[in-house]
Amino acid sequence: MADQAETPKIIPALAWYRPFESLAYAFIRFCTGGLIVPHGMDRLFYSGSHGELGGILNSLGPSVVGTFELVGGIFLALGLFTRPVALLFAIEWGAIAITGAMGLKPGTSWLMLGATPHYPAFVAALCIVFILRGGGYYSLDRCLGKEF
Amino acid sequence: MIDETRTIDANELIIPALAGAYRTLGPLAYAAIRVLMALILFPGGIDKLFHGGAARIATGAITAMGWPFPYAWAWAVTFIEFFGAIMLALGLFTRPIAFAMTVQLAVIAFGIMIKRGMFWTSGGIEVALLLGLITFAFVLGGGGRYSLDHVIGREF
Repeated sequence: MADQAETPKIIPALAWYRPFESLAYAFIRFCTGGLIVPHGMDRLFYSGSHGELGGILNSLGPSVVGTFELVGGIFLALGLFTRPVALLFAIEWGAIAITGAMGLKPGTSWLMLGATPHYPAFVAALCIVFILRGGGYYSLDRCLGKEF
Repeated sequence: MIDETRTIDANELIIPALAGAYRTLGPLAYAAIRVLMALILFPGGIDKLFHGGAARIATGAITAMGWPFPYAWAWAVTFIEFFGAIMLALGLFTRPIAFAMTVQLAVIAFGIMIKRGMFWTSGGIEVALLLGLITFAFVLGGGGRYSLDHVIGREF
């Protein structure tokens, strides 16, 4: 078990989530990596748009970025080489957020329902957190016994 | 609990010199994600509470979905995004708040954003989907070690 120091429950009978409590961090990592994978698949297999990548990332080519997103997203989801992969994603999604922010017209809302760069900024921030914590207990990094 | 107090073993690190930084900052990761999540929802709450956003979504998106009592739902969303975001950041009543956010984000994802495609570049479903999955993680994990729930010593 990752950690046994559990806070007592107000309604213990309703605490159906108790067996899954220690999975929360891994679940966040898994979902973040898992939702980066479709970006890679779109760029690689469906000629998806890559206008949001901006100058430097675009110069690498969508196939390079797409391959990294596909493979790196799977690695992040599984917690394999978590910190270096998260570092590269933080740089990539941070660059996308900055590119998007520079292209916004003044007064454009950053609220959730718009296609604004708040999402890539959020993903980049999550990746910075993954750098700090690493893969955590439920990760392939821990199974390997070595991590960056 | 959420993997926050597991000690980081320098022998497991490829660069052992980083162990000190990871030991200091790593345990804060889960709480940092909670605060990030609150920060991304909070501007929506400010907009709805102080800039007419509640009325706008009541007459717009909620009415378009055909829900009864659109203003009641709009104010529920406003409460979740403003006061809920503050409570989530502090880790107070984390699970009920996170559950309400999960339901709200699921409705936004599958009721509104899914029509715009998958990706954020078109305002697609992935935005609300990732946020909803993360709030669901807080339903599973609760507030964690660095939360008011933990300070109080009881949690849902």
